[in-house]
Amino acid sequence: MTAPDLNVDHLFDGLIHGDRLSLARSITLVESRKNQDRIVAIQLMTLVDKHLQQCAKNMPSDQTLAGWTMAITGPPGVGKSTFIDKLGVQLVELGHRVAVLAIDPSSVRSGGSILGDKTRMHQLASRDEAYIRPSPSGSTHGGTSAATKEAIDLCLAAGYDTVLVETVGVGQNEIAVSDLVDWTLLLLMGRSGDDLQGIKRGIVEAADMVLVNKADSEGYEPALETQRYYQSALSLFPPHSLPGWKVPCLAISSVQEYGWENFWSTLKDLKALPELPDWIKNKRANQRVSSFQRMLNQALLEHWSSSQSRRTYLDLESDLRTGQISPSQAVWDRLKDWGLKE
Amino acid sequence: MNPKLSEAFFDHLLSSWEADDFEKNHSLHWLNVLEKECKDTGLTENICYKDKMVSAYISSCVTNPVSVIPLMPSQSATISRTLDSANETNKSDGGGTRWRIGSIIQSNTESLRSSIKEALESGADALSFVGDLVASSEFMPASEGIWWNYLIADIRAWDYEAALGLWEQWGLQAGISPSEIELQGELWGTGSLLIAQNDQEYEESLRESIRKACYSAKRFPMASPVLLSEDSLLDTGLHSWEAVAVILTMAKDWIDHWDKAFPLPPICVERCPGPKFMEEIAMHSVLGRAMKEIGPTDMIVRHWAKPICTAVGHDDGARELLGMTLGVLSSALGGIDTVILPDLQGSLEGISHEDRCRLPRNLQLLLRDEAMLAKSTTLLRGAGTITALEDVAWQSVSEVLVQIQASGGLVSWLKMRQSQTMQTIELAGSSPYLFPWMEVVHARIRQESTASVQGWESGLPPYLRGPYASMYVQRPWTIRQYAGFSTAADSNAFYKRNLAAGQKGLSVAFDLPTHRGYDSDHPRAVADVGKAGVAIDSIEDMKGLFKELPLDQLSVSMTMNGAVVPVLAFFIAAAHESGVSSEKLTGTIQNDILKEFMVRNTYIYPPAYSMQIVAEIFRYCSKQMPKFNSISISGYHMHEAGAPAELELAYTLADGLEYLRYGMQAGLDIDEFAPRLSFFWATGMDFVTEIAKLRAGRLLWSRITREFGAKDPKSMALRTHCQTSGWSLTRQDPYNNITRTCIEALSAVLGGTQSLHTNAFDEAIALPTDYSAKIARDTQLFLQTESGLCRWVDPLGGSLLLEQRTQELVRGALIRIKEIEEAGGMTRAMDSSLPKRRIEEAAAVKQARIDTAVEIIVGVNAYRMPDSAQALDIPLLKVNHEVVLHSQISSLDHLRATRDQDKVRQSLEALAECAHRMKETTDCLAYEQKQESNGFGLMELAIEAALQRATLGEISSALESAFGRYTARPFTLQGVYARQIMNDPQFEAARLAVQAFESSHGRRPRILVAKLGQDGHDRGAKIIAAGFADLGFDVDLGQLFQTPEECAQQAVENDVHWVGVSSLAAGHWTLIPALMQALHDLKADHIRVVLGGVIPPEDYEPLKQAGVQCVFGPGTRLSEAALQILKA
Repeated sequence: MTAPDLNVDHLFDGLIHGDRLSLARSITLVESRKNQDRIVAIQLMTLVDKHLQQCAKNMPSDQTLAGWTMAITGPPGVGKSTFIDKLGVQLVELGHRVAVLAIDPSSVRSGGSILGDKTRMHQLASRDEAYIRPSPSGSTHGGTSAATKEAIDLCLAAGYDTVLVETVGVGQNEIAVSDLVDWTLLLLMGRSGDDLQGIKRGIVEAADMVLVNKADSEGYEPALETQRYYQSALSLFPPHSLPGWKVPCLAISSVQEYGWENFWSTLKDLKALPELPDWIKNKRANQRVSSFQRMLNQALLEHWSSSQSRRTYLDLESDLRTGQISPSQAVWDRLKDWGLKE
Repeated sequence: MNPKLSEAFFDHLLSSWEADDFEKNHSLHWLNVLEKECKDTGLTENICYKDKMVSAYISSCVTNPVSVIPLMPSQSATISRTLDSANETNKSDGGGTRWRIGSIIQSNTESLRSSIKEALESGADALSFVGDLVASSEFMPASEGIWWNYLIADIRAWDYEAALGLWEQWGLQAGISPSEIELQGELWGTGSLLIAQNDQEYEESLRESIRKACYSAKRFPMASPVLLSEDSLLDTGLHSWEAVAVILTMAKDWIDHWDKAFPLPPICVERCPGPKFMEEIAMHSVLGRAMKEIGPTDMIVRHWAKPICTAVGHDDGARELLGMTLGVLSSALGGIDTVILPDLQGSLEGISHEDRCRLPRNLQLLLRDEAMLAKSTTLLRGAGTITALEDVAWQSVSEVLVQIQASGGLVSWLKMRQSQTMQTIELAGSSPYLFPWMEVVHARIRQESTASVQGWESGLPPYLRGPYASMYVQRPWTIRQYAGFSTAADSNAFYKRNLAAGQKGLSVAFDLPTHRGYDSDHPRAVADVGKAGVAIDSIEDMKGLFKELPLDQLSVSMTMNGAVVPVLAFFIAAAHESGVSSEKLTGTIQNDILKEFMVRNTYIYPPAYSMQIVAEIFRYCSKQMPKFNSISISGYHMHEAGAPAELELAYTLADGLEYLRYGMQAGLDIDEFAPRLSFFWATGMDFVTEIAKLRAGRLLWSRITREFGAKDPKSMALRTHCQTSGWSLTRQDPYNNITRTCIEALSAVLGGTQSLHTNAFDEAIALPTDYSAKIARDTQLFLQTESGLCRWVDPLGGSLLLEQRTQELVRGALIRIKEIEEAGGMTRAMDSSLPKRRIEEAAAVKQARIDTAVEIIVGVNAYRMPDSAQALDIPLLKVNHEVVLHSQISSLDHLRATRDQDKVRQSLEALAECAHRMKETTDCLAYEQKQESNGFGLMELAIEAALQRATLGEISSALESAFGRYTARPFTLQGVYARQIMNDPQFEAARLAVQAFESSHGRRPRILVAKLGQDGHDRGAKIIAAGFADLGFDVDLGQLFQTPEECAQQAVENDVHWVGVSSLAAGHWTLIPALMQALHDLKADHIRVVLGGVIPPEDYEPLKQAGVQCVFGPGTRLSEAALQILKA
């Protein structure tokens, strides 16, 4: 049952040579919640980070978009997997190597999950140039698993120049995924008039691009109606942080050809924007900082809840619940415990 | 032209259970239809005709049977019976169908105590001791600690008074009062009658016994000294109506002579029913009711049965089990309160003495708990045929009662009776017997034949009671066993053997590559060639399959959906080359693609194009094959995937609706093709529901087709094939499956099926052998020839319970059909996966109910075989896969080398071109308009290609070049299983084990649930996926039809801990080693392989040695499986 020993150098070596087994095991490693694994994972990620920076330096300036990472998010049932299947195959045919990280929701009660996305992307899955890895979302919110950022970097290091992250979009959580990737694509479904109001503004605000899926057979009319609605709604939003970019809304079909020409030409327009390289560079730099912040948050919390006796932790939780102590006071006390505050 | 069921249609059917105007006023008359059917088969004036008319007529008397069969004026002064009681339940005296299960304990058994213990543990609640043990020193210690006050003990062979003394002694020790002790002795009984030389001796024995019995009656009010059994009477050659009359006379004598100063002890009357199902029920009921009439109201009558199961000169254990099944069933329904079954006497392969004792007990448990007879106590209330038969039976009995009275005494009557020649005695066991009074009924019918019997009759819309007026009276159902394996030549030989042994129609099972449109030499096919059916690659194989079989006389059913075009083309072309033209061909092609997308998964092309192909076949068959059923709309696979009856009904009929629409859109008139549509149901273990299902289906279909504009009554009649449920069979204690299949077959017959397949008992373990196939076939032959059931039309019709269940199903199904119609018909509804989801949800719920033993499966979650028991040593079928594969490949090579390549290419190009035209038409939504009725000519082109020796794979690819190959989108449900099973200790234990795994491994256990090869039955895989996720696993789903290499790749990329393979199609010996090798090649030996499904037990060890971590058979609880794989 025990897997082969995890040797960082072997893993890293396999990884940068595009060995899929090494990539698979590396992702498992960074997803592991075991302490020993974490130590190895940190060593590995340090090597990976260095490697990626080196690659970026050697990259000719017209290749900024190599190493492009994109989140595809949207409500359940909107057809994300089918869309990615079609998109991925086209990317592969354009000469890209595509990795897909599909995050599936875990059941809150049992903790288990069914990871079916790969089977829904059977055309892409059969391509040698594509790697698809479904992951359970675990307990983290934001529709992403705790290790998604690291998994993205691992895919990039393994030579996949395009990484697509599929997340369940429910409520506000997509905002978190947009902080992990270069570009966020929101997928919506055609719906009729009254239902349109129901979509949360926050989701749309986090998107760099909006697509209305299922513009085929019976979905065609509602998709176009929805597309028109968002097109006009988006024009009222504050301008996008990328100068010259207006968040577009397109109708598209994941099973037929409708909308794809438009989609690719919009992407072409995007790449032609002179401000894009700097915007991306800047975004990635900022994300390194926010990654640190997120990881620190999580590490401190994990440290506290695991190093202390479980009992103390539960006691505190119960004190917080019953109002015995204020959250602010509790934080202050912890910091004092750790000798960080007088 | 897009007919729809209107809102008003649903409203009317949901609110009313009345015949509508059409059904009331149509010009057909039941007797005319009946007479026409009789004429058609040339039986008008011969002797059979009379009998058939009688039976069919009696069967038709549902609503008011008593009025057409007047009772003779009661000539018996002592026993009377009121007409009112005819409609009363015949078992109000507490017996009900929760009967006591009696077990026979052999006194010569060396380990008496363990026999008793085993009987009690496996469900017996009455013990019948053979031989006198009262003086035996071993009996006392053997019985220690047994709670006799909850049991009834049959001690008929013991010294009655001594036995009472013994029990009293125990009672004192155990603190049980003698008044609680239930004993059945034979101080006096039918034995006393038979040894009496004359009427005086008889009377003396009666007085003497009463004197003795009075003495103990006060202390032991529940001990019975009187046993009046048919057993010894039938041995003297009496008919059962005579034996019953004797028993009644004796009971009356006992009661009349009893000293009223003492309480009357219980009287036991024991019948020995044979397999004549309906007659025995009637006779049970007549005896039970008459007994109530003759004694004081507070008299306790023990109403026992000891079925006769062994036929003279037979040593067939399976036949004996079948006899027992019908005997117990008629007893249970006839109001018997205790059934005593002897140990199995006849031979069955590989069984031990313990098995012989256990199987009869299991049989009763199966009927009580799995067939849910315990919940069906009022099944016979209102059933017209039974009531009519009771009248006939009663008249027959009462005439004998009069004779006995007239002859002056019982012994005198017996002497006179024995001096007569017994004309019919040898017929009693082998042919249906009529009660003598049937003759009177027949005379009556002649007078009344002009009277109106309109209403819901068989043979008239809405066909509730059957599609034909005379049903099996005229023509029994077709015994059609589904079979096929390895090569065409092997299957051909097997068919010939079966036809010689009494089978009537053929039903061809194809192997999975054939279903999926692959030639045997296709890389994806190798593991499945010749496994679950016969491999057919070309017209040559098809010719081999039917070699020396008269295709113009033999009805052939072909289970083919995906590759329907090449297979039907091969069939037609093969017949053509053997000189049989297509209009002479009879049989059925399954051609039901919708259910493939829903549950069975052996599709090839996307739904819209597949439906066009279906319509093409309708068109071709309606023009060229007038006697051939162009579709068999199948609920079977939905049932097997876990759909409850109303879903099976609703979705099958909704599929039927969709086919009607496509046929009409293809330019056909509904009355042109609707009469050639046939149906296919599963019959499971829920006895009453399954009967009701067949009836409800006919009613709904009749109304639906009329709503769609059918004018021809033939369009409205639903004709169906049935198959017993394979899912209900168990790996544990496989001989129980003989009984299961018999019960299921019986409900199909009682529901009025037109043809039937009975499963072999070993199908949960392996493919059937000649031996097990014979037992399955014999089950049907038994039902046709010995049960007497063919004499009755809709025998349980009118039963309040059955009619109520039928109505419930009609309503339940209508609600679901409405849902589908509102979604725009089945093709559209399937886009949203709604039907699939409903079925899977029901399956998960059922699994959880079984895992928690809320639903009992005998031998699996209750009454398990003792651990000590030896596994049965049953011979299993092995197909030499290498040989089959090699033979297929070499004949393919030969075929390709010898045919005219240019002609083949041209024919395939023409076919592909036609397919492209069909695709364009479909894409342009042109099918909304009515097409030319000459269609696309696809079948004609396919037949041409077949004649040119194009292979199945080539024809299929030609179509695929236009339509593409469809890939299903998997999904599963989470939480359903967990909701049902919450608080189950083992479920919780498994959850904890998952958590422990997570903390030691840093992530949750992760398993890839995979189906390999061309086997598309994914109910098991889906339930495992959903259940494991509910237990806390991360579950990856494999694509259907994966190769081992693709599966290994996915396992590695997703970095799972296990690959769990579900195998139902005997492919494991090829696929599992290939999977292990592929994992090894990817340096992933750390990923373990577990296997579940239909795996022969002797393969478990070798598989484990080959590196498989665990092997699970059907019936393994999910939590148990999870614990096992986590443990390693």
